[in-house]
Formats: sequence, C-alpha cells, structure tokens
Amino acid sequence: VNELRWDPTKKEWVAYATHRQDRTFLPPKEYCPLCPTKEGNAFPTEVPRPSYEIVVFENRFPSLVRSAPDPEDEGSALTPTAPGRGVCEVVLYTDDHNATLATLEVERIRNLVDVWADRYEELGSLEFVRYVFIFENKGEAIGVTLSHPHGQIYAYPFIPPRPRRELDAAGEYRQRRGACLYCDLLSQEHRDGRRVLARGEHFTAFIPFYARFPYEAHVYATRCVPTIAALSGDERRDLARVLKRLLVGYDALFGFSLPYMMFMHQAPTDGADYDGVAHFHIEFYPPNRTAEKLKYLAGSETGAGVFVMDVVPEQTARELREKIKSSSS
Amino acid sequence: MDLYDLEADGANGFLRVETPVVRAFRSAAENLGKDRFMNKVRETQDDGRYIIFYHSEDEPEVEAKEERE
Repeated sequence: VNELRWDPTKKEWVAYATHRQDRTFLPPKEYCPLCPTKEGNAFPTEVPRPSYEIVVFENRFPSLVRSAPDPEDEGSALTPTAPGRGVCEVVLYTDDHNATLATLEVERIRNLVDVWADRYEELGSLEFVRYVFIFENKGEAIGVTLSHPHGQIYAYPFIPPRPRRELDAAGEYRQRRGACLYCDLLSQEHRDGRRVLARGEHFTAFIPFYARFPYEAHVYATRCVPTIAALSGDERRDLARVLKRLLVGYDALFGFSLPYMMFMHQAPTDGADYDGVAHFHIEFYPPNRTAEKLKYLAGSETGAGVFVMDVVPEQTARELREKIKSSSS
Repeated sequence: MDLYDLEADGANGFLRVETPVVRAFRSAAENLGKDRFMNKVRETQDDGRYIIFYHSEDEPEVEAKEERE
C-alpha cells in the first residue's frame, strides 16, 4: 500500500507506505548499506563506489513514490484517498561511518549546504512537488534505523501542516504589521541576548522564547531570504560555521553525541509568491532533558497540543552557550 | 616574485605591472564570497533509482588558509 488518506478532523493527509515495515534496522557496522562498496567486498551497499564525498540517492523504502499507483482503498467523500506521490531521497554526508554532522569539517558542511540547495531547486522544479522538506533524524532515541551519518529529503505533493501553519502566521503578521515575522523575532532575540547561542555574520542560533524542548535550537538567516537556494556564498559559509558551533556544543552538553531531529523550513514550491513571508530557517529538537532522561510527548503534548516545560529557555540557553564557548576555544 | 614589476613606459618613466601573484590573490579573494557549486555525476542504479555523486573542486589556497585560522 502506498497512498495518502485524508483526516477531515484535523484537515491533514496521512501517508501509508506499508513496504517500509521491512526496511533494514540497525545492521552491524560491517553490513551498513550506506557505507561505500569496498573492492572485493561481497556486500554491495547502496553506493557502488569504494569511496565518496557526498551522495544523494532515491530511498529504497520511500514514504512517497514518483510514480504512485492509484490508492488500493478508494476511501469516501468524507475520507478521500490520493496516490502517495512524491520523492524521498537519502543524503549521505560522508563515507566515514563513524562521523556525524558535528564532527565534519566546516568546509564539508559548507558543501553539504550546496547539496541541500541543489536538491531544493531540482525537486522543487518537479511539477507535482509543492514542498521540499530537508531533515535529519539522528540517534537511536529518535528511532533511526541506520547510524551512518545521513539526512533525508521528502518532496511532498502538498504543503505539510506545520510549515503551512507557520506560513499562515507569517502571512497574517505581514498583513497586519507590514513586516517579516521571522525578521522581527530575530531582532527581538538579538536585543534580548539571553537565548542567543551562536551568532555569525549572516546566521544566528538561539533557543526560542517559546521553546517546546529544553535544548531546542533555531538557526535563522539574518537576511530575509525565502530558501536555502537563495543564500549567497558568504551566507552558506556562515551557515556552516554556525551549524558547526551549535552541534559541537550539543555534543559537549552531556558528553555524548546528542540525538536530535533537524529540519528546514522555507518557501513552498507551488508557484506562489512567498517573499517576506517565508524566511529560511533550521530547527533542532534534541529529545534529552538531562543526560539520562528524555522528554516524551505525553497526554498534554499529544492530546491537547500544549507543551509543558519544566525548565525555561533562558536557563538551558545559558548552559548550552557556555558549552559552545568552551568547545570553540 | 614581488607583487608588481616595473616596465619602461617609453617616456623615461616606468609602468607598474601586476605580477601573477596579484592576479592569483585577486581571483581567490573574489571567489571567497561567490556562489560556487560542487560537481555532480548522476547515475542510474540497476533497479532504476538514481544516485548522484557530489564532489568538490580544488579549494583556492586563500580559502584553505582562512579555515586554518
């Protein structure tokens, strides 16, 4: 089954891809399917070369497929279905199995920014793609099935609900105030300073005033730029530097490689004009609230959509900022 | 090699002429802020899925120095 089902109670699509049940789950290192295929190795991986720099390929177990079949279940007028059409890609950051985004050189991260930008442009130019979603799930706590350093890209045939809500909020703010919501939020963070984690020439990492996770961090472009593809060379380099500082700080926080979800929000690719509304940014969500304890989405968070926090962002930002400073010096 | 050579201007004076060192430095400095992009090679796997290999160009000397700093 590869189809979308409409939830009219929340006005959201749910993707069903039952073949994913059989995907590779945490194989031993010597059978990592994302490592290069070594010469003379009887185990061919996803990458038929003995080494590589950065690689992108179509996911063997995609949630959405380019040539999606008609839905097996027709649904109803109330709960319609649609083909699960889209593109799912895997982005391999390096051929070093033991690396993470945090351990990569700034120059490699800078190259990765180029690759993300290229994928945004290519996938976004496909007629059926409305939103290019670039993300990374890192660590077993997040549920990753392969530990090799990699991210993913989903090219959706619709604008997903969370980016949609953000765009609606930014659109309303622009109508009311005539300004970019994200530019104003960033200015407020710069003026306050207590939640700023790392500030570069073109990008700033901070814990938002309204963080839902203790060490949630957002990375905003200073310029009101709608997409990663619109970043200049200087901005891309600065983004790489700020990401490196943030991630090294994350790993210094508890003395282990911190798990997280990372994703990018930017302009949809549906042909509409998002200038001054979409503002390219990256969000990180580590699940840890301490070294040993994770924050779970429990009743209030899942059922009511209300996050309850037991620590304020000003405190966690101070801790993380100190770690970033001591790691950089 | 110095930054500039002096050449006779034909009127009892000299012209200051840039050496290749100046041109190399200027080119590297201009490229620092410019968009550049990785090379990519697209192939098709046996099962029809595509795979794209991205690889970077050689970095200018000035960029490499900046990173070390």
